[in-house]
Amino acid sequence: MAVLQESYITGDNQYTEIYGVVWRGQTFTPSVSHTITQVDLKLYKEGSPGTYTISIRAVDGDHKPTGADIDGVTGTTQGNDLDTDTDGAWTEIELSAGVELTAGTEYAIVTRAISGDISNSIHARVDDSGTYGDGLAVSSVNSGGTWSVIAAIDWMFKEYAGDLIPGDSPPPASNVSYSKKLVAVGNDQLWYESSAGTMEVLAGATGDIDCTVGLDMFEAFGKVFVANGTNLKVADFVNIKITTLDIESHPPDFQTILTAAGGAKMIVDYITALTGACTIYGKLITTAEFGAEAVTGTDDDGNAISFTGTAQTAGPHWYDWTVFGNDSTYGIMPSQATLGCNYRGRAQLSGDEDYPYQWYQPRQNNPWDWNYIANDAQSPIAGGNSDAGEVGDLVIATIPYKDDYMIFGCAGSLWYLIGDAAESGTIQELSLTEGILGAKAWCWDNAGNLYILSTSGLLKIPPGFGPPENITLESYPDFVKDIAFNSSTDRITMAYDREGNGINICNTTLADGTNENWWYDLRTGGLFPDSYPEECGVYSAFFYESVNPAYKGLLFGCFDGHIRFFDPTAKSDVLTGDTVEAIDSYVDLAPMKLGKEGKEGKLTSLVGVLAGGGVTGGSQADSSDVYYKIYGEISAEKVIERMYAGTNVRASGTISAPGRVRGSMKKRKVKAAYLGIRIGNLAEAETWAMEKLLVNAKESGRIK
Amino acid sequence: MQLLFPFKGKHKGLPAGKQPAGTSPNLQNVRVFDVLDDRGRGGQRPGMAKKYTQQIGGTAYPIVAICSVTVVN
Repeated sequence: MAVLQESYITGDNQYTEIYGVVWRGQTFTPSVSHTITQVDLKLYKEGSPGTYTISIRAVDGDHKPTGADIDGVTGTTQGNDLDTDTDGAWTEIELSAGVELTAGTEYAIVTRAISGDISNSIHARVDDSGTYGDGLAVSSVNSGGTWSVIAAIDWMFKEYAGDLIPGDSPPPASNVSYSKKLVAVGNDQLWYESSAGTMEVLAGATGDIDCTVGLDMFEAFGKVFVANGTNLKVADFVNIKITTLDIESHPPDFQTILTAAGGAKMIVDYITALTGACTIYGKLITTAEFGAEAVTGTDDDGNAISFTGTAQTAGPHWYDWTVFGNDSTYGIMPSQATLGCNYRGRAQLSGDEDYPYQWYQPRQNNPWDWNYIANDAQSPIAGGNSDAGEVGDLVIATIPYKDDYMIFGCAGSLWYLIGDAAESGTIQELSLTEGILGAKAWCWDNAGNLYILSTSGLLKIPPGFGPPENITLESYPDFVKDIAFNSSTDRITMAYDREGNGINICNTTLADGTNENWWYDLRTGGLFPDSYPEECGVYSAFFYESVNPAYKGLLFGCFDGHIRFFDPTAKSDVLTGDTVEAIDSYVDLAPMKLGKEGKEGKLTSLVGVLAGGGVTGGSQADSSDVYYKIYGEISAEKVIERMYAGTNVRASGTISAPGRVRGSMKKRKVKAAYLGIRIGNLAEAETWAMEKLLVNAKESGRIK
Repeated sequence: MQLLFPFKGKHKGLPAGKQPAGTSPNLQNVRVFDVLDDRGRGGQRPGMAKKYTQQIGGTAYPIVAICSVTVVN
């Protein structure tokens, strides 16, 4: 079976003549090595041109055919049999034998009708402003003796492979049939990933968003739904749209199939009005596209749909999130919301300023139907979380867990919905004494544990909703107090890093990006404080499962409008203008008791063993040098106090890397009851790792 | 005396003189698993770098939300 390889089939608007000594052709460059067996040209005749012959020839550096027909192979068709319709017709011309072509090499399709003349000629259809990028039209007036290039023209042509050359068979272009796009909002604009690694503004959205009020967005049905106060919007990446000046008497319903006169079909998703002029959004399910033509279909009641539509427009689109057709028969949406999520195929909203305890769910798998009157298993439904007769707690976060649970993080309590509220679902309290700190103060890990930064600490809630465990209660009782979160000035963001196997907890001041952050290491259960430059202050976070591995990972939406990630190769933080800021990293090894009770001890020497094999370079990655500071006091708490203040350093210096450097023992004498050692680094473009510190100490006298 | 990185992170739940083993009263910008060789020995955290060159919003305004959308081709 012939397999199409190179072709150019657009812009057909002109012709070129072939007759007698006037030979013409088109060069092309195969992207895959193959044996060419057939060429299709769009031809018609004038008079009786006789036999029309094609061949393949090599091409010189000036894009001109050179030498004889490759392998002497030609293909012919009887020109007298062609039609005279000047639109031309695709004409298959098989070669007498295959000709092997090499990928990336330019060849020429050379054609002639040697018994013809100017009144008995072959006419080949061309584009007189061709855009084929891998070849040019060529012409000869001396039977192929010399050639000239006609750069502006490209022929209508298709060339086919009979067999792909073994070893050069083309791999599939991709083994995925879907794409993922990152979407981000900032400066009252919505941006999306137009191609891997490139973010582009969605023009229609600009000005429709107000970043000074609460905003949440979520993916459902190939779209992104935006809840931004009274701005309830849709960024539609899956549908085409057509418009009509009059939808006539029977508008389409949700999921009606519309058919264009030319054969294009779409499944209707959303329509802006049910009468008069409107725009229809739907999923194109044919190769054929909608043109400006008659469109027909049948609505749910069996009525014939018929209207004249415009040519389709591809997405992404931006439009208001309303009920279907903006028609009250589909209910009424909440007038405002700042929280949204997809739960069981329901595009749930909450955060209505007037009804902050309320949540709203449209029909399952239909975000345009908010008619709560329906009474079926997929019916729209709204509710609150409280015991009977009480006004519910303020909903601050909505947390869907697969199709199983919907958790409502409230100001002073936690609730969860099991199953579907419209189909036997129940609402139960998770905690009546702990609330959530913010809309994004939660995340899931890969084991199904839910982590919530609550008013009492960091809660871990096991799968199935066992009792919440406060995992900072013993190790850090003042954790929440020390975070000093102020909901009116700060934003809490939590995100699980499946690559680093930990949780980022970020508290960023909205006004200036100053921040306080924590890394909770799930492998050790330890909390590690972080600080980032103001530009890098985290406003939002998302683990992006990009199809392109280069963009997959935990991403942070930062204070300066840049999307960042933790780059293991970056030894400094990268600022707005690509300048860098050193990472001030340190660890306090303290307090260590040097002597027995009531006695002091004396540190005599210190040896640092840092990462690296001991030889710069080599197979083991090398640490940078680190500084050390030694503190010694008569009480443990005083050591800690000194270390926090950075005062009364008893000894300091540099521990050299890599590895353990011979002769690097630091002989320092520090007499104290308790010892503290800080090691760290605050130099740009440096990073470090430690194996261990070796400290020699001996007992000294009584504490005086 | 051999001192290792405090794998269990910051701890301030006990008297200062009873600091639990494997914890620290204070540390900053460090990770248990280092960036040099991903060994559990302690070291500086990775740097924050830009993933995309474009600045969302075209200028220095915070990114208030991020998500992704999947589209079947």
